[in-house]
Amino acid sequence: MTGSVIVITSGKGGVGKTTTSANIGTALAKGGNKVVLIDTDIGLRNLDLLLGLENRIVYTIVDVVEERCKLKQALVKDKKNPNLCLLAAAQTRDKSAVNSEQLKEICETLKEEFDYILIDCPAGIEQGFQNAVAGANEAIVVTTPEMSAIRDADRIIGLLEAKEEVKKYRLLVNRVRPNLIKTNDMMSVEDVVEILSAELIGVIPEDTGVITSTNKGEPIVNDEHSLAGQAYNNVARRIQGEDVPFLDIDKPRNLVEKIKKFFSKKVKA
Amino acid sequence: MEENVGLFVIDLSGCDNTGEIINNVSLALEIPNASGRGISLKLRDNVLNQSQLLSIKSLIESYNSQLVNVETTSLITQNACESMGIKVRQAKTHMTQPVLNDGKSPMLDVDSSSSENLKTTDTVQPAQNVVSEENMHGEVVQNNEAQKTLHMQQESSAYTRPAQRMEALNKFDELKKELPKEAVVDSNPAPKQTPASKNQINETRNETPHQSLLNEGFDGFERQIITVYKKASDANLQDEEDLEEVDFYAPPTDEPVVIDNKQTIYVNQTLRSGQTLEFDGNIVIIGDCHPGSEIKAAGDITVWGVLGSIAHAGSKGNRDAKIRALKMNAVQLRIANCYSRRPDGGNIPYIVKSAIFTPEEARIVDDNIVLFKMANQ
Repeated sequence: MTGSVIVITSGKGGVGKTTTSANIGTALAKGGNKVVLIDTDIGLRNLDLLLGLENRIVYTIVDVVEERCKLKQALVKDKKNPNLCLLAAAQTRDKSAVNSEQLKEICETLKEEFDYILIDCPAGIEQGFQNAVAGANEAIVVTTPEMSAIRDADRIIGLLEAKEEVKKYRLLVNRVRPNLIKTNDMMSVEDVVEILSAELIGVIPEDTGVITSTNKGEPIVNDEHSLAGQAYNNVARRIQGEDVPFLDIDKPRNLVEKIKKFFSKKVKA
Repeated sequence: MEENVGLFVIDLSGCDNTGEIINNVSLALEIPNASGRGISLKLRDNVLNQSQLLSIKSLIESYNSQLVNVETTSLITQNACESMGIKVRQAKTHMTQPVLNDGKSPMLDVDSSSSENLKTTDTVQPAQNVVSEENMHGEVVQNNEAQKTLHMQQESSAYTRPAQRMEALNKFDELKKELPKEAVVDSNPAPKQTPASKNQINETRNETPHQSLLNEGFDGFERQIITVYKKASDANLQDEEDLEEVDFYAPPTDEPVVIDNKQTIYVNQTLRSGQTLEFDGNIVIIGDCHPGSEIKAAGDITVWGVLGSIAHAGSKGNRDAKIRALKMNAVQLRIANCYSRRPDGGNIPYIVKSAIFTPEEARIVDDNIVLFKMANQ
């Protein structure tokens, strides 16, 4: 079996790389795939918190690299889904503890056993980014509809195009707020795609549920009612090759919203 | 003041906050005379609530001493004491000034016969440890701004009849050089020390004045050496179910591990995410340990605050090691080669701070790590 290695990157910090990794990973595992998540943000790890696995980490990627344990020992199984594993980053070290070659080797080993290897990339374009990208053959570039995030994503795409191993990169637009787009206060998804001229893999609406799910250590894809969770599920299906139409994120979801929308239309007319 | 006969009095009137009080109490309790005795606290106008008093009480009890009475002017503290059944004495105004300093900075009054010499006129210097005589039997110990290393320095310099203790003084300088090496709070821990350098440090450490003072100063206080054998670990940990029984970085060995349980460091700071504290002895942290940090000690770990990180006591294989904290919220507790983790339900990254503390102690019972409430002891 040869799994695909997908790096989730953005350049800018705080756009939702880790949230995206945790949710896509969980969604893929729910679909019956064997998934391993690798946190390469050594020294500032967070992926374990989002998955609620903080208390289970005994060995980290640094221990694997420094041969204090076997790779298999360092894989932490998810609480609910045995198909999902996490290879955590060390919190007490820094990015230089691992190099590109070592990460590449880890990915090659994991490829044989897992369908999907998702790499959570740290912010920036330094050593951490170089490590994360080293073993990847696909990339998901996360951005938000803001100029700063788009400029950083553009830089990242440039760097990814220079890498031979990365065959494919796709864009994920995160934290989209339809109301702001309507009032022209936020760039639309179409604008973002046009500026970056990249293939789109998903649009995730802003959702307050993401914050609570992060604090609980429970990915939002497990919440069927959440719009962001549905969007992430769709992204996971697109990764598996399905053709899924984009979610209507402006759809009113409850009665109050429906009434509001009805009246706002009347006023405009 | 008759009721103070035979009591060990700790004067805390110079303290401004609870942290300082706790710090000073623990420093005073380090003095050999203090253990196994009744303790009287002079709190003056410091306000302490019940839980703070309880913490102090349990600290005192951990030194086999007893909190007998409290002298305070604060009504809140009085009420708290009364509800806990601690005797309250009214503060006497003429005692407000710490009594004395004989100019030679007396600090440790090891045998009480020499305490007469100390009874001279005042001139109190700030930031200095002062011992005063009260009623011939009780000592008043005041620690102003006690700094952990300085404390030791003064401790050494306090001896006026040394001859043999001059040696200890000289060695103190060596200790000062060595200290940063053995107790490093390091966010980027250096690669493992080579065995050679480790031995070197060990040698010096065994010769430290602190050690020699302990040996000379305490009558009948023998060096306690615990010999333990590491549990041989299974070499083949292929089975995923066995992953939780791995031993932590400690390679299995047939040789007995000798642990000298005496060396203790005080760390007076908050341990933040990513910081590691490693020491070949006991660790006492006065402050909180945040998630993401790691404490590793060959001996015991005591956290005077919230323990929210990974703590590994007895890292060299000592299964008698214990982990204590005012509030136990550790992500993982490891003692020797045993391992336990926080239940999933309580996965709160940063605990909500509250005034209620329930001091707990973790130790090994039949290969499991068990938490004991310390108030019941």
